[in-house]
Amino acid sequence: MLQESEIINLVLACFSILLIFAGLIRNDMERHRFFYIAFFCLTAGLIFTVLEGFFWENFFNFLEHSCYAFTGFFCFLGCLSLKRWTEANEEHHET
Amino acid sequence: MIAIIDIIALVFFGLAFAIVFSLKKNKISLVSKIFLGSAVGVYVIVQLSNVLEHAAITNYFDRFEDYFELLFFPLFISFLFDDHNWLEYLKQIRIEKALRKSEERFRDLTENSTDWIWEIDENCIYTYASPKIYDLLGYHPDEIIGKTPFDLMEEFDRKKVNAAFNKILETKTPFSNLENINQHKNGKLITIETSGIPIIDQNGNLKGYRGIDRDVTDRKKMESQLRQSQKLEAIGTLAGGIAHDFNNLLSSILGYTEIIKDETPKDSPIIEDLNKITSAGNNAKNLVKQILDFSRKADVQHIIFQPSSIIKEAINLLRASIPTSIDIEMDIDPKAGLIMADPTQINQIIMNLCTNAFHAMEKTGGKLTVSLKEVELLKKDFPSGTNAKPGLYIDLIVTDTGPGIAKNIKESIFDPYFTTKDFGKGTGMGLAIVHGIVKGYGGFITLDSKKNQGAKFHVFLPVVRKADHEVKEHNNPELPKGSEKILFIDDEKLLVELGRRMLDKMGYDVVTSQSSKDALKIFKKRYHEFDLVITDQTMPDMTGDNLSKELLKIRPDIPIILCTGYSSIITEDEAKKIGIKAFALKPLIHQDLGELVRKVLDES
Repeated sequence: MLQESEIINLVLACFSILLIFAGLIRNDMERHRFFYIAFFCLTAGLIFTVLEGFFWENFFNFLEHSCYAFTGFFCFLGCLSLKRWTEANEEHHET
Repeated sequence: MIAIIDIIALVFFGLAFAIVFSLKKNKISLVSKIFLGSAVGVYVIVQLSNVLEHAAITNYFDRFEDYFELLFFPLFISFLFDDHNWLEYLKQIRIEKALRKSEERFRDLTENSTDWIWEIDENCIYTYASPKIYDLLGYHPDEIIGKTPFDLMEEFDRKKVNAAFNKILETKTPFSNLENINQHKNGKLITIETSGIPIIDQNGNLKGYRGIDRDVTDRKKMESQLRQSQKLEAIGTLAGGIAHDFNNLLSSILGYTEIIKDETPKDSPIIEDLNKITSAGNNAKNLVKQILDFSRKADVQHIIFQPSSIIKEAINLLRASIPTSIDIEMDIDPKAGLIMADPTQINQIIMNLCTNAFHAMEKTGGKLTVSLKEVELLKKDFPSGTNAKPGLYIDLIVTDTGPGIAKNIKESIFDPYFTTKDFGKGTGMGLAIVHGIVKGYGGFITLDSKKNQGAKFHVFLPVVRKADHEVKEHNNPELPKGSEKILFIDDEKLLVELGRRMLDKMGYDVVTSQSSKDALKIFKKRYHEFDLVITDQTMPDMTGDNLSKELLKIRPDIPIILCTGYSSIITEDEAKKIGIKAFALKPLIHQDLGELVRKVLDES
């Protein structure tokens, strides 16, 4: 069944998407690219969570967990690229 | 399957969490690090909870999981917000907005300014030109970029301004109102005032200049006109000053010549010589009147007359002053209609047009043709902007075979002070005066000229019908006579004698006086004896108008004629207000004086 927290989560996700779109206008979003993808995957996961309460429970549940896995993957890539970016900048700064 | 996916997700979130805490803090803020770590940590816990649930170890965390997830979004957005430095970004947006507004404001000012705004680099090459350049010099801004200011300048001005500007460049100082003459794309010369400020870099090197150019052509023209007007005013004052004395001298010359003529037998050869003196004297009289007309010190007299005789007289007079290399041809229709005008002004029109023609042919010689005919004009015959009415007109045509008038100056030739003549040869007022006179009589003037094909001026003046107006007869040989007693006053001995003799000749009983005070004394004693008083205006002790006031106090009905060579103190209207019956301008001619005296006496 549909839970209260799931709706709140979805509303928060949608609101956050607006903020992220505002951030996308900026040119210096390069280093947060993977985080944005992760964010969209997570939002998709939340949508599937809501949908599974209504129909095709197993299918949407699978998609939901897959989205979380992708979110984790892109979060990992995001952190990795952030680390590389900070290190590259540090080296450049030192030279 | 779901369990495997959750384990994979847990692994990735775990790795991400580990990386976050290995990030060096000098490139990412501690706050960002905490937000990101917390956000990733939330999902490490969520995924761990899922895995534990799948492994059937515990589902204790499941009840908190959904609420725990809620923390992710605020934490993640906070991370992005902090790492992006969004506050700084928002501040930057505000600055950019203010900059755009400021730029827009300055662009509006620059592009809508009535002055041309420009920028040049250190090599004096234009790097910016506001669109106003198009109105000023006819170029588009793109055409100006890459040019130097000197490329636009008239050649004779270029060196002068270049030298002045080089000095400014050396000193790197601001400059203002640097006058220079530029050439419009259409060839017209434009006088510009340039002001600028230097662009200096941080090291003190001159990087160029930035400034404005203002079109001062009209202002310069007006200044020149003002100077000319002041000169003319001075000439007018001078002319007025000499006119009085000059007319007194002419009165003696013309008056005594007439007396001699009257006393000489008609068949004497001296008569012809005396006629020449009279003619020269009359020319001198007209000359004084023209000078006074020119300086607007003389009244214009409108009479009806046939212009043919005036035109012939003017041409005959001109013949003597125009070299024989210029042929003068006349084609005057003696039956051309009557016009209502001042003969002196018609004379002035002929003189000015013919003098212009003479100047045009002075070097090459040629033919000057003056013709006069009557024409009927319809509305379609009038040039645009003319308020003349259809009807009969006299068409006075002055044609020369000179170099003609260029198309680009045709519109300007009637402007005051416009001249193409060499310095000292013309004031630029001739055609302007002609235009003004013709317009004043309800006529108009046209020009037909092509380069190297001479010029033809048509002066059209409206014809008046005899029935509508009484035509003034000029040559009345009958000298009016009378026997009344006249008191004649003038401070000039010669003129007193002349007046006495002229009036004597007409049969009047004349008492003369050289002093206004003496005249007043005589009048006080014998006021009932006199029928008329003729007095000069400019006299020592008491002027003519003041004397008249005193005389009128004694005998209010006494008719007075006030004579003057020229007076800026009293006008004819003012004289009439005092009670003076007539106003006579010197030099007094026998016939004119006789007619005036008779008229005043008859009216009284």
